[in-house]
Amino acid sequence: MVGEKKEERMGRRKFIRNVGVVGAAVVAAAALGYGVSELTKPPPPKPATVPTRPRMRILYQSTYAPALNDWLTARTLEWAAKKGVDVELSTASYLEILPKILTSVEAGNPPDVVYGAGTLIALMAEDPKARHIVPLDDVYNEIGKEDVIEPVKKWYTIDGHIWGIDLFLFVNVVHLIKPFLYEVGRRVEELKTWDDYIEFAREVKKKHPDMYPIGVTLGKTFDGVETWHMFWWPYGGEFMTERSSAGVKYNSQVSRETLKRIVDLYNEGLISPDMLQADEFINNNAYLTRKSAFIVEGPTPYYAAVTRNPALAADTLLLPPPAGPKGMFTWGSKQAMCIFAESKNIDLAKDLLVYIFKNRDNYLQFIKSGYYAAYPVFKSVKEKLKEDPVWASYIEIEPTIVDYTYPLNQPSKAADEVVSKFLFADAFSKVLIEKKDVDVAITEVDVQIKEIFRRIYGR
Amino acid sequence: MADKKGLLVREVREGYLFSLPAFLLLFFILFFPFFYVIYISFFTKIFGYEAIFSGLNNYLEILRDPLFHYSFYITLIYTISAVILKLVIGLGFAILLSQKFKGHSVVRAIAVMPWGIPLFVIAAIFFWFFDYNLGLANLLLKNLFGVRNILWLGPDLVVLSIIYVNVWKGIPFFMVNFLSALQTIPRELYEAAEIDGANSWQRFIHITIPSIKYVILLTCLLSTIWTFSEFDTIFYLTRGGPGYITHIIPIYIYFQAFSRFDIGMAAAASVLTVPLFVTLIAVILWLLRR
Amino acid sequence: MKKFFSKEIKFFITYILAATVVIWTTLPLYWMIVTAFRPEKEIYDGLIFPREISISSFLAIFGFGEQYITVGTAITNYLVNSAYISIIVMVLATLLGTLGGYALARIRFPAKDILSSISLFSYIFPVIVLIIPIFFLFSSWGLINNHLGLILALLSVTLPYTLWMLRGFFQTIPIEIEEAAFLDGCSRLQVLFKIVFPVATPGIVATAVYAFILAWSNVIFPLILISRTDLQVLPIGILNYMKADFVPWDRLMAASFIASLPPVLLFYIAQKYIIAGLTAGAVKR
Repeated sequence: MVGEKKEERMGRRKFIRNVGVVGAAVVAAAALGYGVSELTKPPPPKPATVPTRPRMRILYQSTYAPALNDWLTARTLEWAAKKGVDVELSTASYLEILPKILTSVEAGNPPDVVYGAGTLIALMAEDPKARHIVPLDDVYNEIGKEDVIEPVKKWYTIDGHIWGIDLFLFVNVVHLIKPFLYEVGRRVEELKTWDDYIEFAREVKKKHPDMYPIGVTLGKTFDGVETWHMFWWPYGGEFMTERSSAGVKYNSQVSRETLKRIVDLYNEGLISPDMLQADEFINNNAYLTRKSAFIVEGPTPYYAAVTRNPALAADTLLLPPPAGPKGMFTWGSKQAMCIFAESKNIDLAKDLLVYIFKNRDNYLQFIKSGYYAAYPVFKSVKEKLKEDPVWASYIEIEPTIVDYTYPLNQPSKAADEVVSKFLFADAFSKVLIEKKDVDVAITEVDVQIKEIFRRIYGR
Repeated sequence: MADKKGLLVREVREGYLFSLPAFLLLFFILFFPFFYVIYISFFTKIFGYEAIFSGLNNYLEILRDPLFHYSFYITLIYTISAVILKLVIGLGFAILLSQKFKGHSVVRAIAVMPWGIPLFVIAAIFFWFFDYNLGLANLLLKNLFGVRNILWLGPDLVVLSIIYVNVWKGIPFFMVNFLSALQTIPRELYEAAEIDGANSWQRFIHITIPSIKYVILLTCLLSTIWTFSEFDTIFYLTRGGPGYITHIIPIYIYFQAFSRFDIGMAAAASVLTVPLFVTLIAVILWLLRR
Repeated sequence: MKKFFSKEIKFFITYILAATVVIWTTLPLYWMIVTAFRPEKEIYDGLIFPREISISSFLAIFGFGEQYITVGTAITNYLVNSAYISIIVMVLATLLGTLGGYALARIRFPAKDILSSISLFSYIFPVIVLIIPIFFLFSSWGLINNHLGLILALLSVTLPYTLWMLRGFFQTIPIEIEEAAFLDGCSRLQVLFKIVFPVATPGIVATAVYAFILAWSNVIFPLILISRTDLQVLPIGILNYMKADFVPWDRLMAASFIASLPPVLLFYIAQKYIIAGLTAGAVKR
């Protein structure tokens, strides 16, 4: 305590001196920083010394059905053993995989082979000046190009080459819990369009007032984006007609009506408030706990039911998605595989892909191990699956699968970015949380979309 | 004399030698990055594109960004509410536990537990606790009080929920600090006041609070600093949602970088938090001086 | 009469409040434990009390009884990584903190005050400001996706803490002990390790323990620096359970339980000294 006053004065002088020292240090370190960052840019790739065993780095997305991942891993390791290749396998969840790939591209060392992140191919290949992946035309020819279903070929074709191949697709189908249907005295054949399903939901609501029959996610997630499209396309919703901000057709009367329709359903109490949460499992949960009468989702909830709750699986019917005045449209979640141009083992990587896809019987087993969650990319496999009644009820929806660049139906970097930022789902929060007008919401999202298009296409 | 000077020189040398490793490391992993982020904030840098010098552009854009304004606003609300609640409840717990009733050490041991549990675990537990259909919160409400399911993580209540989680975790820190401080208040003060006719409440206001005022403010200061930069809870529970409701500043910075891939903006936002942060501390320190 | 009455009530109220405190604290923990020790099917039945006890979820998270081999569904790998990284960070932070803290506490040299200020400054510095530059710099320095980078990044949160705490602890050691040793002709290093260290052991151990807890609990650095699953640590492993199409609640709670064991146990053991260190600055002046 004694001498504190003197210390205070000393302290102040020291403080000023400290500040001065810190200030000088800031300037010095800033200069140092600039110098160091210039010097430590990633070193140029070393010339390949003679390798005894080639090394490949592979990144796989972890799907919702572990069996599918297991098959893929097993196939990959099998191939590696046969070819004498050392493989470094890692997995990432769907949320992290895109940022991780982008950061690795940024750092100059992406993996050799990637599976996952469907919104990746256009991002990586559309711009000829910044192409990070290689065309897979020869792979397609090896495995039988004609047998691959059309949507897959179409949405990865840029400049006449095909840049990716889907391991499988998650196609959106209706998961209908049958007891609810029978309870209100309806028959499956009567459910074809959104109007049918909404009417059905209303009847269920009358019987179960504290239920939220329609299980569709509205949060800022891929599911939220899918919900938008499942309501939008059947009523004539169109996204882009050309690669420019002028070609973005989101700001339309159809969009407003669609948003209004969904908002009204929510306000009517047919969609649960927890659907606004930014989590992908919300509508799955609604199905698994039977809090919804039906959900629209790629069949991963069904997979969960089959493996963990067989009673529920027995009570479930998988059906084609609800149609609208403009027809039936399905969201096919891309599950792309691609090879990075920076890879030193491009031929080996292509060989791996051929190995994974070529054997159709093997592929059939793969699809089957996913319990209807994985939709095959081969027409021949589709045919074989028809024997199973569960598959038969919706296997023929292939023609309804569209790309989110519909009606352009070609890959677009800007569209990929729009989807991966969940901008379509933002509209829901704007109206239901921020209480904005439907018009305002659509306009605001449109502005954001156009900004992305302008940045990427320059016009 | 020469020997003494030699000793002094040796001591100075030792001083630098001992502290060099720590501070050298700190320079590389703390100070240098700090200067570097200031440096980057003057560039427009998007993932996959080249960095272009853009001066104060990033700062202007951020200061114009309504989402940033909202982030700042919600961070303030979150921090201030959480700290005040922790203060009040922590003080309450401390006062309770300073009465040495039978079993009070057991209660104290239990009450301290949240401090030792990692924040991400607590976030995971509450994620389940607050689950709409199956979480304990709603199960209890339904079974004990017949109340309908409450959407804890929905647009209406999510801010309260995240404050609750932060408070649940942070109370032990306040409680323990106050407990130690309360022990230092001499009994005679209370006894004298009681003789003078002061009731419990008056004794509290005029004796207890002033005696531990310093501790209160210091604890609040530290807690404010920690709450302000808390990332884990929100990231695990809501990722800034629903919509943008819980989009606090740390989340804002994270998403600028890893979702919008705009490093320059993220850097500028990071740099901007420092003055905000310093102001908050200065306010509390000012209160401390009084 | 009045006094007698209010004492009874006071007693009663005290116990009610104490019970409230206990319930408030244990309710979420109860839920974690109950869910972790339940068979999976029961989760969806929505019962508060368990009908059946089962450790199936614990077996599952360690990969037993699982048909699936894919890395990432079991937490063994994450657990091991977390453990060894946290230990290394703890050792490094404590070592450097001991040397530096001792210097700041006892050695008289010109830079002492500046460095003390810097030490305090680093302790209260908001880490969120550092995530962007650390990510960037570590990318250029090749420290992404490896444990060395993660350890260094974790030191940015643990080292300031150990420095500041140990400085405080060393200041409380009576200086006479050291002066006696000096008179006997000991070198500075000898004094530190042979004399001061034994006396300050509780403080050093407590600081080390808390440094371990800080490293173990850190989320942001593993999140941005590590993308390979085989290198990832526990917090992100648990996050992966939560952010998927299907959340296995029982396994999530089992993993949470495992994740909380080391820090809680260590915290209780070293509690007395950790709290003394963290509150010393607050209470004494």
